[in-house]
Amino acid sequence: MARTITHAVMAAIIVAAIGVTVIAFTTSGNFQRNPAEPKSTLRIAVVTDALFSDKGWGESSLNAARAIESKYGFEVVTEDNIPIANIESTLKRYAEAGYDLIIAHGVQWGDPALRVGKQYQGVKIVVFTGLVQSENVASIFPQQQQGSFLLGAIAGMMTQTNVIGYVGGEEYPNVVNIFEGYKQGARAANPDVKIIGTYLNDWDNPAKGKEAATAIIRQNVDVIFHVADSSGQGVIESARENGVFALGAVQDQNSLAPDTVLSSFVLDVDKAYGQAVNSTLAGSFRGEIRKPGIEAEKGAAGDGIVYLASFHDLDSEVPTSVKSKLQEITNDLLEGRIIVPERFEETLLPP
Amino acid sequence: MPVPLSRRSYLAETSLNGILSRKNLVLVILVVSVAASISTISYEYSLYTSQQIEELAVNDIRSNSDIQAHDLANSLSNKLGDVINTLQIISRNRSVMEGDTENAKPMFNQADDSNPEIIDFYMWLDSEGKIVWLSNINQTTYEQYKNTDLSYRLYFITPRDTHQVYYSGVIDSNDGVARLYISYPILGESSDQFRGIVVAGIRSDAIGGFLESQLSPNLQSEVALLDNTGIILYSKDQQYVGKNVFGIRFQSLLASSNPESLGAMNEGFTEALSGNSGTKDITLNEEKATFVYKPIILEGKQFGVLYIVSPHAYASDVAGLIGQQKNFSLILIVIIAAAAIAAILIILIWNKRLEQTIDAKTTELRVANEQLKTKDKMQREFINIAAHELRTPIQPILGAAEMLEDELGDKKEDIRMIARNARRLEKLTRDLLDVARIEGQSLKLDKEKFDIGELVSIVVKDYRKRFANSDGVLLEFESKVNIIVEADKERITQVISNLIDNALKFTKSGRVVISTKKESDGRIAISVRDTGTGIEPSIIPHLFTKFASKSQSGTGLGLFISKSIVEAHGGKIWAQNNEDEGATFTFSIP
Repeated sequence: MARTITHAVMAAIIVAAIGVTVIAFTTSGNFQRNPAEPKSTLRIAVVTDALFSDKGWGESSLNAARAIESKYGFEVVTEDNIPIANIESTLKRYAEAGYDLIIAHGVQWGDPALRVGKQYQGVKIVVFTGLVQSENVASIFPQQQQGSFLLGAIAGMMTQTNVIGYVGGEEYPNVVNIFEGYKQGARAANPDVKIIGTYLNDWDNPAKGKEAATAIIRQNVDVIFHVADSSGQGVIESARENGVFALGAVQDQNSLAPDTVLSSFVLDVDKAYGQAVNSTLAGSFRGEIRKPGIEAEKGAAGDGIVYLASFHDLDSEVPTSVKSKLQEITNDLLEGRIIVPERFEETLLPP
Repeated sequence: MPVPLSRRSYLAETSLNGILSRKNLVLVILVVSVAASISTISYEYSLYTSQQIEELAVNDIRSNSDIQAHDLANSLSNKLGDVINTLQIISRNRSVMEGDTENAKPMFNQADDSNPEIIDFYMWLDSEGKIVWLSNINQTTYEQYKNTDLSYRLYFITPRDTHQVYYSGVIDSNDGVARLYISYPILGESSDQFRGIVVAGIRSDAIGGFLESQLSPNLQSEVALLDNTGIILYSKDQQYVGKNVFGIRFQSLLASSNPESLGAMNEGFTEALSGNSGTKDITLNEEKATFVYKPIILEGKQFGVLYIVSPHAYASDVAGLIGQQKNFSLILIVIIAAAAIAAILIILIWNKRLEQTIDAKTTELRVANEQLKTKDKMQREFINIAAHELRTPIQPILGAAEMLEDELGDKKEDIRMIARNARRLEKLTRDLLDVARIEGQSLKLDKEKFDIGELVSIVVKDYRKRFANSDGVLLEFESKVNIIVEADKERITQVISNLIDNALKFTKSGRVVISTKKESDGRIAISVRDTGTGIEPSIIPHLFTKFASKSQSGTGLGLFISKSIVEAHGGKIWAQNNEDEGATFTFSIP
């Protein structure tokens, strides 16, 4: 007994003298899993930081949302012009409200989608042009560089001055990738071509787009390509005023300036969104990054969602040799004879 | 030799069990409790102090950052205000309004010189947007740029269309230098006549240099400037100049350096671009910092946004130092407490060992003492028995010798010698018996009242009779007063006889004087004074102990027995050498 007490006292002394502090860390996590299962109806939200009124990128999103509504009969909530600062809170808002599928239109939505997806396991998020993935977050990253490769080939063949240009909204990796495809296509068709480009750091400022485009066109450029959403309208306007060809992006932008916009690379956003809705409905949603490439024309069979708009009224301006060469390159791309690698860092232009 | 573990632990337990008595336990627990309490209080107080100081330092950084941002915004506003004033003055100059280039040129150069810090150049465009003049430019360069069409530039288009001042974002100018432009319309007499613009070209790095020069080095802040659309006009890191704060490059930077503060910073940028200022706490590369943003308003229009980020590192450094001190104090206290406990244990162990040693020695002494007592008792018993046994045959010898002494006249001297020696032997045995009684504490007094003077007289007479033939020594008794005492008559007689014997032994000639007197305190003193050899000083301290006597004929026990008898009566005995010759022995009894 005495020994027990002595031991106890000694233990107490040691504990007291050394002053051992025990800190318990507790962690908690939400491991709730919603197993994928087929659904008969979906609540879908389509959100973007772009403007639905931009006649290009933003508008393509709205059009695709409407296409889902008419095709499936689901109500699709759409919201545009979301400030970058509010992207995460917007995703949370829809996840919180119990939406099954959120389609986020723009690369900026990638990282916030991962964070919100982790927090709300029940929701599926698809980031269009994103490069992120997790269990419930998928991305569709169209091989836009294939489309821009074709535009580059057109520009390279159509330029009289051997100087072509481009204007980007911002130096996003996927935008860089588009221009890298443009450069490669132009050089493939015309090794002597000189290429001048700039970034606006502003997607919704046509005046700024026009100013930058004019500065470029003044450097003897006679074909100019833009990937700049609303700012791109200024690029097209400058091209029109200066009497040079413009090349559009995402949508067929010929209607903005029929005598100026020679062609556009078009994203079959309806098809891409439709694929996301189908997989969610069927319970086969997978957190993956899909990279659909070129297709022969809108709605063509296969997974491709990138195609080239027609020349419309400018068809007569394009020589047959150019058209046949273009067709040849398109076939090579479709059949994999030409590979346009993804490049997310801008390459230096040769002198 | 190493002790086996089990043996060691056994020893430890044994010694701990031995040491930790209830009293010691209380002591140890008290010390430990005090040490633990002091440690806790010290630790808590240090923690509190550290938090307080860090909070104070952080508050200081917050308020200083706010002041810093305010001052920077003001300095920049003043600087840009000066530029706008200059543009205004130029635009209203008659030569400029009338397109008189030659007369207007000096004015541009003068204006350039007045604001050299941030201004790269002043430029004049005509109503078509073509370059008319550039300040401080040589003729060759002028010829190169003359009539260059800049009508597509927003810094031309906007003031042309609005007739108001315009602030551009960062523009990669035609010469490849990042600049921002402030342009002002040149209007005719009636304000609807547009005659061109004057433009101030400001290099992004020059404006940055100005801002950096105004920064207080103490705050270690980073400053940046945005235009009114969120494009970065100046940032220390050049790669972000021209990028939108909401663009992917800058957002990626923010997300990688401070993911938790991304929302707060974006909110701040949004507020600032809407013309509001504010302060937010953020985390930058895992370090806390203060983010302050201020809109810059010029001429009632928002020019842009200035923001600074001040890390709290220095506040953390202060707190870190205090934290170190706190830990050091804690360790120190723990060490002191441990040392105190160790010291207590050592003292207790030492104390215990001392106690054990004392116990052992005490036991040894007790045993030795017991042995000594036994031996002493045995010795006394032996002496007692021996004395009795010796005395028994002496009596017949003595009796027979005395009878023979009377009967045998011729052989008288021989017989006397026998008798004398027998008496001496008898005295020795008597003395030995007395010593045995004294040491065995069995000396009994048989008290009675008697006249001491009478007793001394009888003893003296007896001596005179016995020593009638001895020559040279005169035995005298001086007192004539009758003093009654209550004492053991026989024993007192023995004392007096011993003292007289002693005096006679050391006195060859002269006198031995016995005197009695009554002391003032009622005690009776009896002295025996002789004119003998006196007492050797070395003997005096143990004169009354056994066998101290130097006498050839005595037993050496007389003075010891006398002292014991006197002390048994409650009296005392002493001796001293006389001033002239001989010694005096005195005893007093109540």
